[in-house]
Amino acid sequence: MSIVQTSTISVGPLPPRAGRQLRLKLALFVASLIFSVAGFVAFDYFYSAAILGGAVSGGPHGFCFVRDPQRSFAFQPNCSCIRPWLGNSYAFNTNSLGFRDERIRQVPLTSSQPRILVLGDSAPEGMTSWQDSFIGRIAANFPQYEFLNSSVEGYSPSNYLNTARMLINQGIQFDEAIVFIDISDAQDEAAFFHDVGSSGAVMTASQKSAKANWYSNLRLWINNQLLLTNDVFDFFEKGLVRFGWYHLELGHGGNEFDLERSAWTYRKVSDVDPYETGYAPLGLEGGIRREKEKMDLLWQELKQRNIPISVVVYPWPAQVAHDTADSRQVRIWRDWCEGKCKRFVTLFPAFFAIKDQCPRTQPGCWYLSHFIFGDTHYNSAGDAVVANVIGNALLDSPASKRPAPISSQDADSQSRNGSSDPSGVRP
Amino acid sequence: MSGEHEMLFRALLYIVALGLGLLVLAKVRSRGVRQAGLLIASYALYLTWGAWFLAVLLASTVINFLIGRWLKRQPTPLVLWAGLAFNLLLLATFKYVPGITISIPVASLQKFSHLALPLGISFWTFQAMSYLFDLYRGEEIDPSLLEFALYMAFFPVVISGPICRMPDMLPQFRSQMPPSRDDIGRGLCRIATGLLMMQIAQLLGKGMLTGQGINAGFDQAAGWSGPDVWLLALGYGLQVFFDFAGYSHLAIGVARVVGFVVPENFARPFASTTPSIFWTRWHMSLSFWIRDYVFLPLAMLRREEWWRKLCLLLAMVLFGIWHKGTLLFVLFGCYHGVLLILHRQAQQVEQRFNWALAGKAWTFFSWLLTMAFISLGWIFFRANSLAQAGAMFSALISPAAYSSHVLHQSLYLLILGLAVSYAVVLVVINGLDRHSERLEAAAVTSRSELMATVIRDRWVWVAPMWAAACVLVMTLMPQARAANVFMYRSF
Repeated sequence: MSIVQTSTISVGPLPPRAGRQLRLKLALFVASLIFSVAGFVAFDYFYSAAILGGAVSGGPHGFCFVRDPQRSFAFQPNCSCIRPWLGNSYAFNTNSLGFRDERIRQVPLTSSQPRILVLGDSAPEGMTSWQDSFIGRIAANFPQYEFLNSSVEGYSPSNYLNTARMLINQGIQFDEAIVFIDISDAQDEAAFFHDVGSSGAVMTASQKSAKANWYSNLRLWINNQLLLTNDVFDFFEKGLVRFGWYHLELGHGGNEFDLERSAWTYRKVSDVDPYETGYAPLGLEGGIRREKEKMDLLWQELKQRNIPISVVVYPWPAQVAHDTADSRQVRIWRDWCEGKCKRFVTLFPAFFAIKDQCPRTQPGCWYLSHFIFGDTHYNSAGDAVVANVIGNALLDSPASKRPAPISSQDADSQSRNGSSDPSGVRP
Repeated sequence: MSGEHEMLFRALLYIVALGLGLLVLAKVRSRGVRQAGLLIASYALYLTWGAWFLAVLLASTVINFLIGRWLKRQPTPLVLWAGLAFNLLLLATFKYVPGITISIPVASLQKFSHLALPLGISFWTFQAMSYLFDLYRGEEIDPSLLEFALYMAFFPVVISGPICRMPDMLPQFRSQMPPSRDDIGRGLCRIATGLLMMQIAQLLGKGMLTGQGINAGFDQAAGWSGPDVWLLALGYGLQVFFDFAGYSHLAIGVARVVGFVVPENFARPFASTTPSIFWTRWHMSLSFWIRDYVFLPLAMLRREEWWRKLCLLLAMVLFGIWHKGTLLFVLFGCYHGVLLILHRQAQQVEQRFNWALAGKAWTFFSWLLTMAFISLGWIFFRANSLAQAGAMFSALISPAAYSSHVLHQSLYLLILGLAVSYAVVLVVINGLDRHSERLEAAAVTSRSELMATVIRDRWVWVAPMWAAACVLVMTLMPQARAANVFMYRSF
């Protein structure tokens, strides 16, 4: 029976009725597809509006940001709000100094515990809950220390210096400073901040240019307006990244794995384009030079008061994807630390080790497991890695209450001898 | 292996078995080889749930086959009762004894409390009993051991039904026809429908927001308001329907892909306008089994009305405890038994006084009343304890409990939205079916050709909608990516 049926199948043009039927089915399919996609997006639009309408807002403090005459912008003291970040939100509190803290609290001038000042950008500030952030984790693991986390997103060495000076001027005692140097600090110093006067006060660049194309604009719009559609895009993008296709255009200024802000360690960047597509006016080398100058000033300020400084460097996704564990960023700050730092800690080896553990079939798994998807910041697992490495450094070389301040003459003499704490971590 | 990986492994194995089964049935004409191929695939899949489970299934298969042979030679009540006793004992040992021994403080009995329930035992034991009943009644069925083993372990239905019967299955096991393209197409459509429905059930259980689904609603300690209880009752009815009817679509679809037609399990139960109609449309393979092998033989023993009502009550209690041997399921059966008796009484009153209750308004009222009472029955089915069921019914009858609601409004929106969407889908399908009948008689015009394509080749335009609905349901529960569990598997 089946042989007879097979033999009757003829190869050739479809009869007119069959051809019409096929065209009709195709038209129906396409019409239904358009209707379905439109229906899905319409539902998503109203659903997202309902969810986002009742979601977090800046509240009375506009996410706790205020203008600052010295640092251009800062956090408002004793502020509490819910901050949204890439589809999530977290509780955010500042203490009386305007530093991110576990809760609103009054910071006294002195403390009976060794007090560690943390200076840095958004990574040590933590774009997640205090408990999940790596500073929050370290603070929980080392209750014998008091941490003052002065990190603010967008800050760079100019403002690390300004923040430290502000505390010193206010008479706030601290026993150590740990500076988290961000990959983007080079661009911030080159193109984003410029000094106004000799006080070290900074202003931000007025001219800005963004790298956008139709896809990144669409993606950004979806990200902001259509939660469910965004999930669908995320699903496919995660799959591509997992398989090692390091390309995410999410409307944040280019490919997340090759942003101009982070690309300078492994490829040439523009010295003529303004922020944020380039490094004008100072250029990359000018930016790095300015970073070092500001850090030199910071080190001198601290040294005069016998306050040890430590430096931490950590990779962005771009470094893990395209750079090596001995990145230019690592070399610059390791060299700078010679004779100056109590500790130099690099997170690069830890994240490259995680990358090496990914199966060959999923080379991009490190990003999905340790970074917030669509972002350059660490997720909870990534923060745990950072907290662990820094915790080990603190165990190797504990912080202690500093002795009484020494004279500036003694400080200069120590500086000439190039002495530093021999127990510093130097990978 | 984690739960998620285990699910994935089984799903892949299932697809491989289905593919191999299809290949064997399409290419091989030898009846024995086809049956052996299907049996090996069925046993291989069942083995993934545990070797012990397969051992119990094999033992039951051999013993029931031997009892069947004996019954064929000697069709006496004694032999039938021996067979039924064996099956009931087997079912009781695994399904009811562990539950009972937990509540009996005798140390020597405690070892029975850890007996694992072989997967689908309630389903294949009932299939075995129907085989013995059919033999006793003189049905002309003479399966070989291979055919009987296949009947007991047939992979599309062994885990959770539908409950099949030997007279329907045997001719199909013996058929040498390969699955047709129509079979495969229809089967795949059923599978797709089933997958979507099961996803919807998961969404209902977990909710659109973390901890705001029906599961959390029932698991909260207390404090439901009147509207909350109504919502949970209606929502759970929908959840269990989407879950089990979805699974049934899947099983029926898989069977159809390999060329087998197995019984339907659901026929739009939420469109029922009376409790009696509901029970001819809900878990049909079980309710018809109980009707044919329990209710009718018992009801025919005496002619009195009270006896028939008692039989109805007993049949529904059996329906309840088939799921689980707890007091709540006995109450579930009693509740529906009483509901059916009351409906019968109402029908008799209607006939006695010659009331002609017809018209759309009356039908709507009857439907509303039926849905309300059916929904309330789910409280017994789902409540975690008798006390919880009591608290929920108290909230229902307390006027003060109607002033507010505790459950999140997203759950209200989800359940009511799904109920309305499902009603719209049913109306559309009904409309298409009606048009289909008219088209048969109509002359072929270009307009009727378009309609014919829309109606007959539904999946051409339904497929994109199905995909969009699947994506919608999955994205609505982004937090719920853990391994999903089919609810009826536990029965």
